[in-house]
Amino acid sequence: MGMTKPAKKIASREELAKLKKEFHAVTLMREISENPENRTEVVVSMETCGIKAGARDTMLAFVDEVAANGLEQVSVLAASCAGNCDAEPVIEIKMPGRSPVRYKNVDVATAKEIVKEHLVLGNIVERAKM
Amino acid sequence: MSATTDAAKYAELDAFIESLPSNDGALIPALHHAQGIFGHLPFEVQNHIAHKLRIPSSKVYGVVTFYSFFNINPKGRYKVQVCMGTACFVRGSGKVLDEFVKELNVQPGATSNDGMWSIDGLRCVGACGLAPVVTVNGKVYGRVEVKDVHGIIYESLAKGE
Amino acid sequence: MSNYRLQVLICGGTGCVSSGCLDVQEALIESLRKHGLYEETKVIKVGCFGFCEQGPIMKVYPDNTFYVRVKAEDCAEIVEEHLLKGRPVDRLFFKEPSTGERYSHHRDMPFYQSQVRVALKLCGVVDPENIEDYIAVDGYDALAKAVTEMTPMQIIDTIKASGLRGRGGAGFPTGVKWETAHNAKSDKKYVICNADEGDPGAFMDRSIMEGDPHSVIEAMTLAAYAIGADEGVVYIRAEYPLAVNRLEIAIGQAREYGLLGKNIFGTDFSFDISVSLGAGAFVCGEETALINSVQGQRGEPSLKPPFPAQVGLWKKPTVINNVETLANIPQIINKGADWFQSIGAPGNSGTKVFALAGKINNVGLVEVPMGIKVSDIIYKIGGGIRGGKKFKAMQTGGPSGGCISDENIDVEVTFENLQKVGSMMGSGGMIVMDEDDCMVDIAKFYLDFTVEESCGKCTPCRIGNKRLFEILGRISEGKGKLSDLDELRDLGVIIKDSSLCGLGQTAPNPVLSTIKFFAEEYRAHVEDRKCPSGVCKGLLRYVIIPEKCIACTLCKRVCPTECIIGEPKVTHVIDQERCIKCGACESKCPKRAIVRG
Repeated sequence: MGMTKPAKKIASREELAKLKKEFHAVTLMREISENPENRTEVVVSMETCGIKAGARDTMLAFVDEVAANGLEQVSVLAASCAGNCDAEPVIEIKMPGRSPVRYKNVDVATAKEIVKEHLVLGNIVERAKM
Repeated sequence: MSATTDAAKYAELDAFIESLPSNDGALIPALHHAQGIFGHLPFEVQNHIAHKLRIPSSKVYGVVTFYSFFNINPKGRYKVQVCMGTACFVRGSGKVLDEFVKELNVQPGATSNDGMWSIDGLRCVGACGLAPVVTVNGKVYGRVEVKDVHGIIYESLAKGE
Repeated sequence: MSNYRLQVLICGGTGCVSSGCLDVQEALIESLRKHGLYEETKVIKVGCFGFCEQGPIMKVYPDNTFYVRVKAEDCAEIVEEHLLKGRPVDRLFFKEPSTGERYSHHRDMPFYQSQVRVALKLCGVVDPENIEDYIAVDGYDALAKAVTEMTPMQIIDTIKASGLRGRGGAGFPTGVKWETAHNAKSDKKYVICNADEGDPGAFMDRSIMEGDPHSVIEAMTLAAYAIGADEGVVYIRAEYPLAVNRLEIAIGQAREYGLLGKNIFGTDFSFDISVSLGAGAFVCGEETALINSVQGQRGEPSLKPPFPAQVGLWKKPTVINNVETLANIPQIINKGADWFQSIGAPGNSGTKVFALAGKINNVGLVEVPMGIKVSDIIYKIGGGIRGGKKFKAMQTGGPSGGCISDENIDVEVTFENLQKVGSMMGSGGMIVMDEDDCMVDIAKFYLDFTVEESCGKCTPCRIGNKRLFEILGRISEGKGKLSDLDELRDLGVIIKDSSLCGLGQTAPNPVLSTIKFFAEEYRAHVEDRKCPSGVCKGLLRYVIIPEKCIACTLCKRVCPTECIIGEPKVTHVIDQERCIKCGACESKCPKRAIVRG
């Protein structure tokens, strides 16, 4: 990231718009966080017990999958323990205007499935639901 | 700013002046650069610039004395600057300045005889949240009270630089 | 790692640099590395968040947590607890001094709630040293739209319709200025950005250049297209090294992307910008003096007309706009004149940035819609007077302005209203004073400033202000006469009427406004030989209250002139003849028996 590649001179308004789209990926997080009521939140429980159970990998998987699917209005957040240590990693999906859904034992594969099913299509992944 | 001998310093200044696109409007940039090299602007440097830009020395002198940023005399090894912007003033920077004058026995705008200390009142560094602000060789001290002055002087000396 | 999980913004404005933000950044990065979080976290040094009192400020995304007064030592805990485990560090939340309530998000804080950010919109939001951030939030799109789809006259008409007025202090309509330069016939024209922020206590222009330099560059380029200029100059104070540096970086990046230089956006419009350093002369904020300074001369003003828009830099038509004015312009082109008109008050559209400082709880940079009440700025945003003291005056307009007294505190902020109550908009310094400040002393402070900064070209300013200063000196030393007050008024009016430039024409304002609204205080100095606030040394007396004195000799020992008479168990007395009013005894007395009388 940053100013590594040599810049190309922008020759038209369309070229500028294209660059804007590219660079926007980085500033997007700041923008949607300023209006959090409109965003979907993926909250990963990150207490010591969660981290031990692999919550770090789960979390990073969500970050990458959300980006890969172009889900602009989704934020991945860390939170403290929910008190279900044996079900860790525990995550919660909060969509605006809907009741939150919690998932248990979310490993990387499950995380990918949740992004695809729940976040993209809106279907709850019943097998991992808490 | 690696030049150490006078000849090298003048050479650096000349190179800068020659790099400017035109002599029009070149005087103030040249003076800024010269002060960066020499630390101050003695008459020899002023004359050199005048000669180089083909303008009268009197004009150079007129400009140097007009702007408070330019110094004809060298500053101390330790440069104490007390912010005298309004925000600092209403929070007591005047008293802090007086205390430095008393402790160091140097008047504002002057340099001590041994060349160690100079004191200047400054027009607003823009760190009004930290008022009153004092800087010593660029290090910023915020929310300074009269009782802190002694400690600041000793801390500067201890660091040596 | 290509996707960031976290973004941490650290305020990198001069205020926060002074309070140690660079150490904070270093410690944060070290902690991130230690916990293996560095790769997934983007750390950005941004421009001023405005809340300077509480710096260094740190903001964490996506949580949108706002930390204040962060020290390097706090970073380990922030990383370990918050960034890793999701437990924000409560003790670093802002605590409202008046209510004790803590806030984790800046938008809930009263300091930010009454603010409307236009000129400061991107300060503390984008990385000022990375043009990509600016482009990502629609940067340079106003310019693209203007040069490819609009005529110069359409731009000028938009700016005129927006009602934007110069934020440097005078409030001249920006669109009219541009139109004059546009209509001037010449082979060469210039655009100058006036960044010679001279008011001691105003720092909005500096913050904009440090936090969002590209908005200024884009706006100058728009101005150049509108008037037909191909060269621009930013005239900036040498005392602002950080702003100069960021501006130069930004200009370099804009050139790389072809946003400055030849054939911008593939059109035949070309424009480039150079930076010209000022050298510490307040008068250079005046347009004609500024032009002389850019030309390498003494910064003395010249007679107007002709105005710079007709005959300016190197005798060519020149538009000179202040930094804050320019920062509004790209958004006006993007969102339209009606949008801008919808903010603010009639005839005073938009916002104004103020540097709120002095005896106020929340010092900082605030941007408010025009028409807001002064009292709302002080109490809602500023959080009231420090230490529960009583409000006395609000100084606006710096050395050219005046003091707004308690009776006018509900005045709505517009160019005209502030003049009606004896002050002026000025560039945006707003210094709050409390009962401990002496208005004669404040007037003297400003006069001292203008006397020193007067360029000396015209007599009324050079000599007249010096006389005003001397009379104020007499009054503050207890040697004033009642006739001195009339003399201050008469002389002040004459200086205003007869001076050459804005500096002299406004220099007596601090005296005239205080003498009008704080007449009692002036009279107390002259008639009763008393300074009610206990500031003027010449009128100050320290006395020991015999009933309170426990005769402990502490004061006697600390007195540098040995003017305190007394023995243990014998009530002490101060010998007024020898007392130098240093106040050492007052601060030492354990019983507060020594008072200013």
